Amino acid sequence: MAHYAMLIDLNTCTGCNACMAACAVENQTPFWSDKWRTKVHDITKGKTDADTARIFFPRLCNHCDNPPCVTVCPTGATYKMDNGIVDVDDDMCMGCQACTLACPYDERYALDYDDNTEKKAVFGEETLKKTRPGVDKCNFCRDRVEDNRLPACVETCVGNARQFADLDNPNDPVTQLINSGIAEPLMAHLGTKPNVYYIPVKKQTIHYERDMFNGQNSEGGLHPVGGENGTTFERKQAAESGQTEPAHEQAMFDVNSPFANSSDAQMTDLLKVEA
Amino acid sequence: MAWSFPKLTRRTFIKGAAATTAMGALATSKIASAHLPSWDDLMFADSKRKEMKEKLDYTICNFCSSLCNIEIRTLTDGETSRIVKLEGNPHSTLNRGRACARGQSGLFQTYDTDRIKTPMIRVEGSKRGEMAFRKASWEEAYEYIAKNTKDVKPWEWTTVGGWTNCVFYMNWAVPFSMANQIPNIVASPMQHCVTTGHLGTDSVTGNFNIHDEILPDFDNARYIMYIANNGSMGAVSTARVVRAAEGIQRGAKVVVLDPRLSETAAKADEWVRIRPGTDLDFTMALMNEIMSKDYYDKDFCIKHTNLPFLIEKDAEGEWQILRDANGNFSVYDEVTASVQQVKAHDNANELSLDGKRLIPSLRLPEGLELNGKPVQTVFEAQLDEIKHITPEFAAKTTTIPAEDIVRIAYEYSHIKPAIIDPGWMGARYNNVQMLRRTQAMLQTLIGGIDSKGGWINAAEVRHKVHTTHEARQKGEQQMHPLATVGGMPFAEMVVDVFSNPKNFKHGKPAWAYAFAEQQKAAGKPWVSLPVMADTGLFESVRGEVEYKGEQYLTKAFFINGANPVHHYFPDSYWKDMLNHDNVSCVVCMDVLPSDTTAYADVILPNSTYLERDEPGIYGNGVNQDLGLTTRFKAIDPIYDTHEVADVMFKMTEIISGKAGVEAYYQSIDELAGLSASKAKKYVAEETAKGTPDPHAAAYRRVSMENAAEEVGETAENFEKILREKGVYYIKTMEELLEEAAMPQKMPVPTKSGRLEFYSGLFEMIRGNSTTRAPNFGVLATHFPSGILGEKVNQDRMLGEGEFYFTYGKSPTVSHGSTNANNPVLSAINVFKEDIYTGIWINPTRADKLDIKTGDMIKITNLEDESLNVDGKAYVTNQVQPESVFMYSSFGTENAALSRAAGFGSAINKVIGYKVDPVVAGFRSQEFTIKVEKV
Amino acid sequence: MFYFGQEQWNWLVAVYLFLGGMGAMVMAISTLVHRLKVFGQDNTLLMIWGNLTGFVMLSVGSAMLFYHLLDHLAVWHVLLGVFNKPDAWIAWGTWSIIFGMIWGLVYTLPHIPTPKFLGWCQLLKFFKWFGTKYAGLMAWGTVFMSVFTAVYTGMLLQSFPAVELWHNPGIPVLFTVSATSTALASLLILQYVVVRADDHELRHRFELIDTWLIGSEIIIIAGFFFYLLNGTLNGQASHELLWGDPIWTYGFFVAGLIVPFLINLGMVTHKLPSNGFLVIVSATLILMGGYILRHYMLLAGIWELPYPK
Repeated sequence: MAHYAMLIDLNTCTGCNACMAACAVENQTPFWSDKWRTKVHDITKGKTDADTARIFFPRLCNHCDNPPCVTVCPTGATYKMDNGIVDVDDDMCMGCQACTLACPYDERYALDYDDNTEKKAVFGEETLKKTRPGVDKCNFCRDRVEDNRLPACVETCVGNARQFADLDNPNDPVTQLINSGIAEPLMAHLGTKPNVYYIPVKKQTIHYERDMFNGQNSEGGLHPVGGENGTTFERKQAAESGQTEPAHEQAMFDVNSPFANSSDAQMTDLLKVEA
Repeated sequence: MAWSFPKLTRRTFIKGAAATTAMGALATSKIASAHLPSWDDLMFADSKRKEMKEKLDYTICNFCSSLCNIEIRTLTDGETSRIVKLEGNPHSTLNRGRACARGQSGLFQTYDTDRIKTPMIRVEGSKRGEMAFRKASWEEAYEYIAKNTKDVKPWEWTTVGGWTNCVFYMNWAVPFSMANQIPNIVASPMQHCVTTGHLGTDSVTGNFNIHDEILPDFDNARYIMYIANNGSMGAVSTARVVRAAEGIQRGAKVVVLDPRLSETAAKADEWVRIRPGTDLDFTMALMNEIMSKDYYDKDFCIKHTNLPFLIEKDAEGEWQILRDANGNFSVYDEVTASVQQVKAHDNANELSLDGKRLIPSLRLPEGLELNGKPVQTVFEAQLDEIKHITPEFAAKTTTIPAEDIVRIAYEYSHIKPAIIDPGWMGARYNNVQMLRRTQAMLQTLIGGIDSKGGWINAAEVRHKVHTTHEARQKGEQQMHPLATVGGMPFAEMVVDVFSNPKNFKHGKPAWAYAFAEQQKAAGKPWVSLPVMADTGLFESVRGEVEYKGEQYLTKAFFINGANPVHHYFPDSYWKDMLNHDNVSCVVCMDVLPSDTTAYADVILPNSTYLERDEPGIYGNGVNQDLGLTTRFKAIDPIYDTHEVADVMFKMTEIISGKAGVEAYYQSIDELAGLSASKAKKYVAEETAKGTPDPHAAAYRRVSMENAAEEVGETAENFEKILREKGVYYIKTMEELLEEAAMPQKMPVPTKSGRLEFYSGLFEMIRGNSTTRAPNFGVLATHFPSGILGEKVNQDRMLGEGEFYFTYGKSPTVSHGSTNANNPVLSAINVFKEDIYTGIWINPTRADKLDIKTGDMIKITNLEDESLNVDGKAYVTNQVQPESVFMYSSFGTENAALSRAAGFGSAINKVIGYKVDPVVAGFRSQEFTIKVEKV
Repeated sequence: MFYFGQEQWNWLVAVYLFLGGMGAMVMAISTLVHRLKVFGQDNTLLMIWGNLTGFVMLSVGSAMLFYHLLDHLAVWHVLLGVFNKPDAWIAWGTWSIIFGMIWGLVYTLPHIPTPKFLGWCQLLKFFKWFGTKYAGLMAWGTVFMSVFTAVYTGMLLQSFPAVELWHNPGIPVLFTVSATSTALASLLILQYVVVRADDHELRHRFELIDTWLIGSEIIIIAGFFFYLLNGTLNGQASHELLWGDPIWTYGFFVAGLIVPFLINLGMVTHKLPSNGFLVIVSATLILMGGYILRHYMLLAGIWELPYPK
């Protein structure tokens, strides 16, 4: 039996939103009401120019192995399949929305009568997959997956950020990536056993004359940057202390540059709670 | 009945939470509004999905020039057909089965309720711009055009083409001009991309349309640098980003120069937050370092570039490369320690004229003279030109520490293979062309042209250059130049077509050239190569252009799939122009209304790309593999729309009568190689069958047959393969590089066949003009962006109330396109409204002006305060403090575009008309602004 | 991290939680009091008014819930829930409300004289007979179902793991206490205003129990106060939303708990005269507090995620 999961590499997601579009079209979601099965957030990190970062964060149902949404559903409309996918039955769901509160990841939304009626006009009544109002959510494009295809968001991801895995298949390269521990799921401490894993973003640097730059004031003659106005660049001190390495080699690498350090990326704190 | 709870805002609490968010989604939350159903609501859809069959068709995406291959899924039950999904074509090695948000949303352009469904004629008594139209039949529309252009002479017509037309309709647009004797085309990609930045790269590599001609091998690169370019990765060119992502996942280091933390910069290991306009200083400092410290790939440079050629300064102080009477060049040979000669046109400098092996030097022995005059190599001369652009100089202007510039120069030249992305849209500053030129030079210096992990020429370009090269070697002439010529010769051909009065019976060139001559004669600034540019158009409309003593008016426009009112500068120019009394007829052909169609007299509705069997067979875009592809329609046109080919034939009949139509067939035959006799025969057949667009259908068949023959297949088999796979692959990148890598295996399409630091192109322009502006330097020449003044370096901070203005593309809207109106894309834009429609400003500046995110602000062009635009502020550390940033895709005014109208702000309200003297490329960021709260 | 609340379970659900818990306990207490002939009295009138009031409260509450649904026509699926989804509280709660209401009504019917215009109704006759014959069963059934109803709403809210305010053992206790307290307040109002029987001992007992319950509720709320204050950021966010809002602080805590507690305490310790006016004032405040409690419990639930809503 299969056990589907997703791996998301935050280092190559460029925030292009192709997955949002693909999902909305494939799954006929009420995008005009700003309701989506998956979203890509454009998140700003850091408070100053020096530590600002921009992270694109795709999110979707985590198809938990211990899904609180399934537990609270009183009709059985929401259920976990043997292949790991958590789906919602169009006919059974009466839309009490208990599941939307139970989901710790805020991945479910209400598709109401207005949305449901509008769907007919927007997508064409005859082609609708779901015809009733109720709670909707990502189902890993279950009908595509059962047809041996990939979920719409995975198939189209231009950055190869979204990758699909069958955790029961040890030869699946994405499964191997997940098992390597390079990726983390969200809020695992809640005990939901989520199946979407994120590879965190490598730390970035900005190169500019932080806070010290003031245009140098001079009209003619160019002063080397870092002259009287100083620089935070530590290497300069090393140079002043008279080291013997050839001048231009010494100037080559910024030892503080993350690239110089290692090929193992230093991880972001995005997924951890911050003080 | 919708009660809303007090909403959490960023202000209520969260002390210590480091992450913040744009508030858009939270402020207007979308929750289920409980209500009892109406009868309509209880009529749940009668879904026939299970009974419908799915069919697959293949097409080419229409939303940018990446031309990704697309798979269309349509559900049909025999009666109703509905396109339900688009995917990247999994058989395509161009976009590798992926599609961006625009590609994915394409079906909603076809199903957009705002589409133009019938021809429209402007209501009697209304003014252009009011968007007051009435429905009409095609006959009525054509009659109207005929009536209102009766007195319009051929040269008084101007056609305006959007980029779809440039890419797909060259075969029809250029012959249209020839057959109707209309010398005037304004082609929207030119002044934005193709002739501005790209011409700079082209002068080195010999290509012409760079972003369709070079696809770097990001997969195998270990160092990737982007300069003033978000278009390749972040604003999404799928063909590029799939490769760049592969490179990143394999561990490449990415370095991005951008004043803003763009989508691309967000993927960088190093975001180099450079001051806008100073990129040329950076690249020249890099060149300086790499050349003076010998970091370059010496072997490649001496072999395949003209860096070793001898050069001298003439009496006027102009650089002149040394040539003998036959055009052969001179080098200093290390082996014989003497000056030797190499062929005028070749791909390598390995053999002297008499066939002896030589090793040219880049640096000459001290005091070498030739014929009593001091000489240098192009290498030495080039280094001389830029030696004052040191890392320290650049540090002062770019605000990047000199040590980092030095380090980046070292890393770029030592971490192999490396790529500087060639760049996409230029058109920002006077020196962008030179910037892209230096980028090509840098890529050349490290030997990264047509090499693994470097720039790879598109297969289609290589193929054309290869066939031209072989023909040239055999001494043959190339037929059907539109279809067969590639690179700079293609550019030259296009330039000649419209600038040479001899090409037209009436003896008038395009008004752009007439205007240039007029300006030159009057001692005013003039443009050397106004290729399909708008320079002089406004003057021509106003009656201020003369050619050989006669007034050269512009009275009629045929605007095809273009939106100049929205994406040329400034918006008032085109509005005033189209509204001028001298203009008797404006015809727009488009799929959706736009800010430009509001100014039409007649709007002709075009079918969308999903409703079309394309009338041509095309190469596979910028793919490194050689292949052919086309479009297969998924559904029949839903509305009363027609195809461009047929409309152009009809327009020809109106403008030039039956004789013109005959000339049109012949011209298409000559230029594009599509047989006139066959076409006419098929047109008759299709017309008899009742095909709605017989010309498009006829040329489809002709093209299919031609292409099949070219690859050695029967037409049926060829079409079958295309139908099943969407692409027909002929050769892979590896095979092509083995055969015809340029410059390794064959000459690049420059004048000399080598990669040119001394530019044959600029030498030619210099020869044809008296212009000595640094833009025309035969060697890379430093000059500032022009923001602070044409000769003023940006080595100081801006004043307190002054900002740089920068703009860029969003990943969800194609530049200048109406797909901001696409329902799916529009919904995504609303979701990201604060970021996409906000005017980005750094908190250190915003705080001083008491501006917070969401405040209405006004930015005013300090060069002309009548140019200003309002918008909501987006205060963020992600933009360099001296600059503001806007996404360029928004601010549509035409209410007929129900979702795009009024969303965001239009950049062309604040950008004035400023063009460079080489090609009239727009200098659209070359001013500073002030920012005020409204 | 981002912190945001929810708006799906809006005032409609808050009203249901309020009326549901209260109505159920009203029926339970009414029935119990009548069945056990508490204080040796008849209590029939109180039982009838109580059960009918409770029935109406549960009906209105259920109507709110029904109205709140997204797909009304699919509601019948919930009735199968106890077989398909026995782990879902709502499945059980649906039946407990239904049975509580029906059994309570059936228990009550025999005691209501048939109006002449309904004399023909055989069904009515049948239920009256049934309710008489199986009165004991009906009574205990009603009590059990009603208590279950009052308790399950708290269990339901507790079952949402992401929200620190809800996912703790305090919520079921709080809701049960509050349901009972508001039920007693309703019954007191009925006694003083409508029934006006000579059941002063019962009234005092109600007032005494209610005093204990409100006192307990104050302790529980105090527990929540400190639990959230020292809790994670999620809890702190909820804390801010509650205690930073005057309606919660003054409307619920002060006016809905402290003041009634003091009034009741005064009355049961005879420091204050036990008159109808004070009782009704106190009861009304308790009812108001009961609604505000539910409303704000829903309002202040917070999710904590690395992305916004």
